[in-house]
Amino acid sequence: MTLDLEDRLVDAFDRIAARTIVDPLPPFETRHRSSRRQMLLRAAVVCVLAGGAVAGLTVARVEQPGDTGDSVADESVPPVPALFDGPAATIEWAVVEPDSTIAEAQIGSMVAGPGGFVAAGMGFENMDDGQGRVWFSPDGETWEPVAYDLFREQGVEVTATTEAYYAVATPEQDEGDPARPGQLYRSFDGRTWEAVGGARLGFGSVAVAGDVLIRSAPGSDGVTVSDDGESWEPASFDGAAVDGLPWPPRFAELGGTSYTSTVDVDLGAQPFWASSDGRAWTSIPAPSAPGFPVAASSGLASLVVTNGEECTAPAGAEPDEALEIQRACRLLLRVEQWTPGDEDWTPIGQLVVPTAVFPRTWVFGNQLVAAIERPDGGLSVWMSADGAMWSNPLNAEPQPEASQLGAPTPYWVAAQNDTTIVIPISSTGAGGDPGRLVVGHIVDG
Amino acid sequence: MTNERLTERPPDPAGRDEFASFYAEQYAATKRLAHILAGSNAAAEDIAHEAFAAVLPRFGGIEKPTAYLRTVTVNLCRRHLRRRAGEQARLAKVGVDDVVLPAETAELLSGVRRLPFRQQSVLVLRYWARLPEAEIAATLGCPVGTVKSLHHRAIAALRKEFE
Repeated sequence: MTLDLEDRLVDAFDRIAARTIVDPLPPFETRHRSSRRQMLLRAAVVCVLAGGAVAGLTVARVEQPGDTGDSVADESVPPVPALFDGPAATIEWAVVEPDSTIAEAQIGSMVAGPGGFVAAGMGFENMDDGQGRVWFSPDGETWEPVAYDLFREQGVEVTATTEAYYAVATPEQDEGDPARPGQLYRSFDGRTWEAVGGARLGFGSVAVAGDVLIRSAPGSDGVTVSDDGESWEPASFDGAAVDGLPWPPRFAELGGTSYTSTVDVDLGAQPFWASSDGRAWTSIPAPSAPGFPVAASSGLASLVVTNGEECTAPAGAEPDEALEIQRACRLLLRVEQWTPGDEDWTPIGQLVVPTAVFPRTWVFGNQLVAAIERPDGGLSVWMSADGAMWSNPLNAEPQPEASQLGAPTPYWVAAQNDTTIVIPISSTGAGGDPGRLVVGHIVDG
Repeated sequence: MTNERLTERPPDPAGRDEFASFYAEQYAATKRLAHILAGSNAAAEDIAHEAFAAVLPRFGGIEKPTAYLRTVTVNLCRRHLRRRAGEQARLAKVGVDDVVLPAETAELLSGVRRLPFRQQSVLVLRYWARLPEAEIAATLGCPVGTVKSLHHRAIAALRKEFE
């Protein structure tokens, strides 16, 4: 019987592993030197930075208090200000099948900005191999590819200020090189793009805090800021050096102040910071575990993954075993709230969901919105106005190929303005299942 | 296990047994991962020890030491291969330097070793460690979409050569 390529890879790797000399277990000796350790640490930091931190992507298995998808209110929490001042808006959710090349794409980033939305990722239309693409949408549902010749053969990430969209594009042939160059582009309408900045950027992500561009470049010159993408200067974090921002960089805006977290592998947690200008950052209390903070009316909220057994298959596990472990995963997400001036974050509720993937959270229509990738590859949207009581207004069924290829990554990217939120479900790749868009519209409030 | 030479953040005595257990549990998998990626039993032993040495000072402060250990191990393998760049051409011809393999398997591994390191890493983490894409992304420090892309390109390159 002829094995296919993937089976042959499994066989080849297993053959080497079987010939690894591991018995008897050698004694452990701390023979490293300090300088060498620092070098190692720096190498590790590069990896930890970009992944939303290792802890941000690892998963936990916790005891499930009930059936799949139970939500549980924490009755022991002290009184805290309501998350939102106004009533929760009514939101209509829909799963849209876009009539555009974006349906054949894997979306890596998406942002709301002037006049609509911009998405960037890898397009698979008319080809076996993906190539860089950017799309614009005025409403979140109808999308058109833009600047085809500019971004093809490049990896692209997008962000936006209130005035312009920005894209960082990196030639594909340089992918994998930590020092790969990237070029910053700008668009005021989402359709026409121009290069900005004479010097090419090193590897890193660009995001927006307030109206200031912030670039996190792991392993190089740390965190830098720019008003226009032309000139960049170092950001200050209480005068201390920081290891970088989690990927993707993200900021919560509240009362003219930006909030974010940085990575500190020594602490094993994510320090939190506040800044009124995006340049000088002051330390504030951090939640009990890493999470992605969002700004509510009264302060910040974050869904954090509580400690638990990793939903990680042991090395050498059979594929079926690994799949079963993932399918059994339950994340216990604790909702924590912080109001400026508080000495600590306060737990206000929790959400237990069947997933092996750290969720992303947004604030939309005076509610917390969490997108959860289900073990079967489907997408579940959960919402809560107070962090304690959760509803599950939408479930998008998985694509047929999702279970074979590994589910797409709808949880990583979404974009919203005041009326619309878009959560893309990527295509499964060349010739695979087309992608879809989960779109929520505020219909009142 | 000794830790008298550590000058910063030595683990407290209560944590020694825990680290010893962690070491015993993870050593084999760590050395196998290093062996596959670095292509040498001898190098794998050094890399595995160095990886554990990197984890030790912060063991207890790391929420997911297994994931951290895996990331450090992959990075050490990349550094090892870069230092041995001059020898890589030789390794590529014979597959793995200290393991005798069937010709067809050695040929496939040679093809794997000609791929960029991150593509190699994705293949090993997926087909040997059987990690989900999110964990591969965390290990390599890149978006999940990049893992998909790296995997797609690696498989496409191998199919072109071996199918």
